Amino acid sequence: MSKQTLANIYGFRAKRGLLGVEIECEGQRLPDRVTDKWTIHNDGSLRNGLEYVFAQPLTYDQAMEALDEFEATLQQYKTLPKMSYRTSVHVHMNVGDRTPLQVLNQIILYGIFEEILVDWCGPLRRGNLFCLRMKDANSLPSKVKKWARNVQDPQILNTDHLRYAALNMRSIFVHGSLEFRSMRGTTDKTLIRKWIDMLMCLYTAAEEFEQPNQIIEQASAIGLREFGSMTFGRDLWNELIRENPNWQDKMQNGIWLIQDAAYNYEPLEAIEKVGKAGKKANVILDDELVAGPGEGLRPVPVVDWQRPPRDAPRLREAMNMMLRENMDNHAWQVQDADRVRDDF
Amino acid sequence: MLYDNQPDAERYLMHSWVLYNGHPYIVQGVAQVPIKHEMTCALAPHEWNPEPFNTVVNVNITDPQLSMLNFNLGYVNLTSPNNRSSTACYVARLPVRGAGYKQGLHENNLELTFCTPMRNPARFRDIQRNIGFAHMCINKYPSLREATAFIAGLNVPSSMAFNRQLAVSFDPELEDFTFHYRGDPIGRAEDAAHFRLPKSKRYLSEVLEANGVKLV
Repeated sequence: MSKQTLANIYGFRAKRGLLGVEIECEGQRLPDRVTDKWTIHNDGSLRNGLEYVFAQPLTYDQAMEALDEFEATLQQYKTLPKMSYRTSVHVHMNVGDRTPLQVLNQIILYGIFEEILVDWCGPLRRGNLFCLRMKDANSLPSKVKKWARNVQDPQILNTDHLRYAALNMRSIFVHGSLEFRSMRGTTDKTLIRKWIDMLMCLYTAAEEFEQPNQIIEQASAIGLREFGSMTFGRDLWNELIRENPNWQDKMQNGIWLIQDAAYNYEPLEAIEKVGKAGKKANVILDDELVAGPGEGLRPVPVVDWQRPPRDAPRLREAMNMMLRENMDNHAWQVQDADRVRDDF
Repeated sequence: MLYDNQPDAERYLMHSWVLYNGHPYIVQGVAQVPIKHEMTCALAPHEWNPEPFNTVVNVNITDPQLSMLNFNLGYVNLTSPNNRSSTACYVARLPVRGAGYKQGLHENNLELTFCTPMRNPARFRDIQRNIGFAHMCINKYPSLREATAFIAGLNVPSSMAFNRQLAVSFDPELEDFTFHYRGDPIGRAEDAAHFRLPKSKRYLSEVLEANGVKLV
């Protein structure tokens, strides 16, 4: 398996650190200085507002320190923040040192949970034109699919046409990061930390799959609730779905949106091999084997998948047992498919 | 959707398509209601909406029935007036902002993919008045059987969507059908009623079967 990172492939220098945070803020007595970890920018889209940005990417622990410092500074200035619809919090996650497979896995995992995550971010973020979901901007899943088929081609994602997505993939080429834009404007450290934790769960889970389609098949095999719980940990998952009665439909729709990308991944070495042979990859041939009716999703090998580091240890045995039970009951097909069909 | 003032709202909405009560309308103007801190939109219905043609509907800009997003975009069936050709066009929204940015549907924020070639290059401004666009908004499509029967009777390569995300095209020279999913071909069949799904597209079998495609 290729260990080439995005920085290697696209020829940019991977930055140190993992996280970047931008907090857009309006209000009175906004601080004109925080600490060395922060820089301050004017933002034309804000009214009497400022944008507070990490001066450089930070590790998770450093990022939490920086948020503490930010909160302390607001208290010191007796700031009265006004979080209007214009404000938001953007989180960057460095992916320059990640392989295309890891990044694609992260995008696919995000795509599955996107609607639930954006709902959690706040009602004004749902369908917000500054951070469109894949559901709203239906060109996004196609772009991810195209990129999955040819990760070597930077032109597919390096376009301004992707910038105002809830997940801004163009940021890979600007900052070496994936930018998550959907969090509502807030200065609440606990809330921002929780949002970062959720994104970290996706980041960590993305390392555990050897093929992107395993994500889809795993979700089908163990059930949506368990898949969500395993991805985010029980507490965060419960928080995500607590006030979201239709979360299963939303998650299933996410799977249907993003599965095209998951099943069209072409590993880098395969692209290089095919490229050398002078053929085009992924052409449908008439003599390819066919899938008959009902052969959609099949039981998949168990993926060695571990819980994100800060959560309680994940029990692989429990998952194996569940998989076996599900397979015995022939329950491995996508659950709640009928409901989704109606929406389709 | 919130706006700072009337020019702000007008800039983002004028001449773009929005949905009102589930039907497409084009924004003809935005006005500030005197004294009240409210704005209204003047909406002209699509020619194929139930309302009489050339009427204008005034709607409060915060009306929950007014939407710039919930179009559930997908295939638009473009049939020539004389029914001699048909093309299915996959309409996808881009998360884009910039000069001429509009919140409703507008050619600046759309990407079009045609299943079969159009005789003339088509842009959104060319297809927005087509009945197929209105039908997409209300999720009205022919069945697979109706679609295949229609395009198989034409003597030029034609295509027709039978679902928001699925279309079928027919090449009269080769006498075969091609199935399309979200703008991309997914496989060919001599007989549309007996489609052999390539192995690499097996994950779509459930979607296809749920929408009336019989797989062999």
